[in-house]
Amino acid sequence: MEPEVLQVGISVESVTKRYGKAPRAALDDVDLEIRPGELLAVLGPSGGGKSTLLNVLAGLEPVNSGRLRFGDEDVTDIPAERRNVAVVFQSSMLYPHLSLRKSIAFALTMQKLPAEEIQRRIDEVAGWQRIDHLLDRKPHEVSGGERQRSAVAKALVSHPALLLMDEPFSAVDAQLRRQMRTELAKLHRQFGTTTVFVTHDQEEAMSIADRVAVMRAGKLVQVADPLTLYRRPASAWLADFVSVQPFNLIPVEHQDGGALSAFGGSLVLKPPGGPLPQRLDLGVRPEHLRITRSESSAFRILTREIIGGQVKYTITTDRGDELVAVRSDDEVLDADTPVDPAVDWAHALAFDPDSGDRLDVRFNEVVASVS
Amino acid sequence: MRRKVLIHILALIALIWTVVPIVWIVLISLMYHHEFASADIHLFPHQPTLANYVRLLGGAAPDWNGTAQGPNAYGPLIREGLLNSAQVAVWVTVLSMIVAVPAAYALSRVQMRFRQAGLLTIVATRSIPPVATTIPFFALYQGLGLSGTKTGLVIAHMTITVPLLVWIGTSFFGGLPPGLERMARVDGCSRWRAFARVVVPASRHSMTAMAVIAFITSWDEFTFALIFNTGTPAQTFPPALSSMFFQVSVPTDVASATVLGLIPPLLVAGLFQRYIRKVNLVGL
Ligand SMILES: Nc1ncnc2c1ncn2[C@@H]1O[C@H](COP(=O)(O)OP(=O)(O)OP(=O)(O)O)[C@@H](O)[C@H]1O
Ligand SMILES: [Mg+2]
Repeated sequence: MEPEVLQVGISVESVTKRYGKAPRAALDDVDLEIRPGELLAVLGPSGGGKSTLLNVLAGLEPVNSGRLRFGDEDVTDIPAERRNVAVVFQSSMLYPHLSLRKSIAFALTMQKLPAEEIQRRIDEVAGWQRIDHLLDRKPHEVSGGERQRSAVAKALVSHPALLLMDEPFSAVDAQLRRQMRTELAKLHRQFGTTTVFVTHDQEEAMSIADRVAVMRAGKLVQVADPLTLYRRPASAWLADFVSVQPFNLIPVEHQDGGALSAFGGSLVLKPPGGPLPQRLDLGVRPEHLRITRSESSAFRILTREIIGGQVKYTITTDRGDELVAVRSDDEVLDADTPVDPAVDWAHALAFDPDSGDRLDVRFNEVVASVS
Repeated sequence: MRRKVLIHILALIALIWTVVPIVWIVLISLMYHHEFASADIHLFPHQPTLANYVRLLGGAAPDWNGTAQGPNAYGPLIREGLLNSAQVAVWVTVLSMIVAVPAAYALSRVQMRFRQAGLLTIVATRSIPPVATTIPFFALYQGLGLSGTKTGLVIAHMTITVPLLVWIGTSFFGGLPPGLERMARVDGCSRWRAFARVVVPASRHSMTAMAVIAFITSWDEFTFALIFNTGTPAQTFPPALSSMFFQVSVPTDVASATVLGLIPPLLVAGLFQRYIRKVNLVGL
């Protein structure tokens, strides 16, 4: 296939959007640079402003302040119908009263393209999305997955400058979701249309996006490629949010001789490297917390869950402190086994206990400072 | 299973309740007065005839024993009433739709302050019995010269149909998928075009139902018609029938007039029933 690639960079410059007299802005001074041809995932908890960002990009909601640029063009005041964007909405992605063919053709009809060109484009997208045989049905006469593929076909058919998708796969089951996610990634590689993809599923975001923008309470918390986001999250909240398994956040205090004490002394850790702040929150992902059998330990296994080739353990002290560790299933430990947790320092993170911001601390090296 | 049987029985009772009087009237309209008035009371005419209809529509038809009978004296009144009713109902339907559809659409889809209060106020006007508003209307109409005119009746009927349609329409439009217009917008429609090209076609069944309801409401309306237009050339069918009923003691003639008056709304409802059946009336 030879798509007519139209790659446009998008810039969002200090955009603020407030609905009516709401006390809190739905978008609070958002700055975002979307690169030409990039697949950007917008991730965040409910009410974070993801859909609002999408609607603002589409021109469906006016902004209170700030500018929007598509390439060199300032589109802030251009209405939706003239922005050349395509949107796959969370619900109702096709016209309920039209056949799939007419739904897909609708935008092209509005552009008054010649009939042969419309026919050619429909054949093209229907082929990619494998819906040729369904084109004369109404949306309620096809399955959820087929509807989804048709919606994507509808979005692609108009060769938009910007493709916006608002949780497009939320209505289909987990397995289909995974499959469509992969298909979307493939399609994006072929097409190269600048795409913004909203989801609240971190796994979905991290797996297919070139970069992930995390939004919370109307603010952009961090924009980075998935690996950076995973390795160097800007805050403890973010580290937890992008983590598939529960994230261990351990408040620790300095002891004499550089050791760190946690949970009232139940756990004493000895990080390599130099001086550390007096107090910090130690962030350790479950896969970076090693547990070994140890009769003298204050920790015992509370629960274990077998998750495809790995085992997730929740360990606890008598005081009720909990940690989560994941290890391979070579040896499965039983509940109540006493275990000693050890931190994989190369991957440990440090956070400011008050603000939650990540501290620039590397435990395996000599160390930086705190304010 | 048992519930299903119960529902069917209830539906059957409702059906009998509504249909039997109509069937009865139709049967009476097919009898000669002589047969109807005879001591032998029966339901089905022994000597069925269309003579009552022919005479009402201005023709001559012999009586049961062959005696010649001329046209029914009330024929012109009834025919004029039917014609006036049809004109009034069509105008009421068209104008009410023009007013109520955009209003209902705005109330259901556009973010606005006092939406609920506005809707409630509109619905509340429905709880005022028409009799209560007739006196102010009458005074106003006298002054404006609208009394005894079809225009006046159309306006009066719209005070009933518009709130009714706004109310029904708000729930119809509220049932459309939430992102419909947004989708139309990104597909290149202006706000107005999104309404005309997408919302209207997507809700054509509901809008047909609204129009039928407006037509039937106007056709059946009695109070305003009686007070403003009785005895004038603009008299509609219901008061015409009522005066015939009070002045003529021939039930078979009245029955045939009644049946004539039933035909237009039945026709309208029948013609559009395949649309109306697709409408979800839940929540009304
Ligand atoms: N049309 C609206 N009118 C008023 N407030 C709104 C409107 N749409 C969204 N909001 C508010 O703006 C904030 C952001 O909403 P938004 O829909 O953008 O969140 P979201 O990140 O998409 O959430 P979700 O994951 O639940 O879809 C919320 O506080 C929400 O209540
Ligand atoms: Mg949303």
